[in-house]
Amino acid sequence: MGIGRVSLPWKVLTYAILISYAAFSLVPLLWVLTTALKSPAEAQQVPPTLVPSSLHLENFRLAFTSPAFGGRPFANSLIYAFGTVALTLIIASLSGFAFSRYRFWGHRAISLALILGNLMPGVAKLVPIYLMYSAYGLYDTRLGLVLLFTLAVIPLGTWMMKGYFDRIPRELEECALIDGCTPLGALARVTIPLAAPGLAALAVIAFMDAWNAFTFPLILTERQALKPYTVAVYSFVGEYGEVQWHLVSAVAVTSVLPLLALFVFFQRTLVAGLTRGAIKS
Amino acid sequence: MGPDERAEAAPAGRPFAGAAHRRRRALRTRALPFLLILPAITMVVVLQLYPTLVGVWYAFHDVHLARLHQTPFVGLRNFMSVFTGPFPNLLNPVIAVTGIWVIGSVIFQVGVGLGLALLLQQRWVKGRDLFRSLYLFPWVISGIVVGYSWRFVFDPTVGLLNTLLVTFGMTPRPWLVTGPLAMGALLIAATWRSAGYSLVLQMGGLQSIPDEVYEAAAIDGVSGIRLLTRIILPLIKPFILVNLITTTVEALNAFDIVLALTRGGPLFRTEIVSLYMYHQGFQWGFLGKAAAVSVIVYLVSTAIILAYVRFLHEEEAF
Repeated sequence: MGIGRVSLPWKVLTYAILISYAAFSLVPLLWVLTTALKSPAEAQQVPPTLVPSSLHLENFRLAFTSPAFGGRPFANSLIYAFGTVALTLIIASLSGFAFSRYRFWGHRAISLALILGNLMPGVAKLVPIYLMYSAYGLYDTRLGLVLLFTLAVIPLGTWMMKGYFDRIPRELEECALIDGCTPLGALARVTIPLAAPGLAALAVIAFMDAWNAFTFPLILTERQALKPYTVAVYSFVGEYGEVQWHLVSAVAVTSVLPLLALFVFFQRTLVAGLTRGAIKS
Repeated sequence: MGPDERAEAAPAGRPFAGAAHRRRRALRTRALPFLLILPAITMVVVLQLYPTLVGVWYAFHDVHLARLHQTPFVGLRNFMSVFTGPFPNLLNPVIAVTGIWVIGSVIFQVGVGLGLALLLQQRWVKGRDLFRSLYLFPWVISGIVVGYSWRFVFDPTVGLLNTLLVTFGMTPRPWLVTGPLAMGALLIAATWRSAGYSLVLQMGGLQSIPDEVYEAAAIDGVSGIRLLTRIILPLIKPFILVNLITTTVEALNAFDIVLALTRGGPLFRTEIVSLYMYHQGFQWGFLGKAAAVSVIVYLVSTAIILAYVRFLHEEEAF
């Protein structure tokens, strides 16, 4: 489609579609953002104003001091996200290294099992996981959640890391071995530092996955003090009754901020990791 | 590992300890890859494989939240009851609703993503990275926040959509209150969130086509629709198939976005299978019935994935 002369109407049409879809992508976010920045009185006005008459941060203060929401859920989500990142990086770089460097017995079957396991809908595990966690004391614990979040990223993480390791020449490790390193020492001192971009991409994906997780924490946490922001905002909105959209908007905006920061800084690695990870599997 | 290894390195200088040492070293090299994958495999076995198998066992037993220690064998009764029990059940309306949801999600997300990728990939388009960022960003937001944001857009009294309609002199409509409009709203929200992911994948596919292909097509006078259907689409078929699989799985797995936007309503008209399972198991306590639904979901998704893979292989054979 890149060759040949392009007619002006086609160019105009192309840009019109691209810009309209960009507006479609942005408008719901702006709607929530403007509501979060309205004064509480203006935010509850019917019919609503499209643009806030003046900028306020009171909704954020109200949401974070409200006993129904507070600051705790975001702290919990951060703990889960960092725990998941740490565990995923260790486990996936070890397994990715094994698949990249060794042709061991059953490596094809195991890799296939990893991929297929990842394709099975996670929701279908709800009941057995709930009963298993209740029986073994993992119900309503932080560790139980982090383990599940980590499991969700391990297959993709293994493939991503295998891809990055494949591009690092084996000779570098062999040199380290000749110089007296153990295989694991060579992995830690030579290969891992060279695979740093892969680790960064995986860390971003693991963080986002754990930060946004909802279903398992919904059924596996009971104590208010352990609920991540996703579950807290769900119970805050409640099943029925009037929704306090100005407070929900403030919470929504806060939840998007870390994602926006990661997205801006790591977009390139994220896009590369996604494309490669998807094609590998 | 460090000091241990050094202790072993010492006898290597002595001629007679060589053979045993080499054998031990070979064994260790052979065991190493298994040690490396051990943590990953352990997690998959304990948290994926084992629960799946146990879930199958539960599906044939009467498990209820209120009495977890008493789980008599009931044969196929759970399966019968999820198909033909009191409304809502799988036959009415869950399978139909899930079908519309999955097919709609796949068509819209892959279609919009591919269409935008084709437009964006044209060489003369400026600001490609900016467009791609704007399209992809909603994909990283949590389903629960996406669901609530769109519920706030569709809200009949304080929502953006009706406010805009009134501003432009049109009649406001009861979004989310009637079945078709609620399903439409869900599909819009899901497409809004995930079309950017398809776009990134399809742009990767389009970038994998070498320039020579376009040059050859131009020399042969192939352009427009024929260039698209005869040359571009066949070349990016693997990318499209991967996208179909991931989108199907994602749609079958969807839960938070639906719970936040419609809660399965109005009157179960958006009660997709994951919500039905959650309601059966954790709202009404019938964990055995929920497990039976899981088994069906496993079977169906395996069948769908195998069908896609088979299709891909057959196409490759030509």
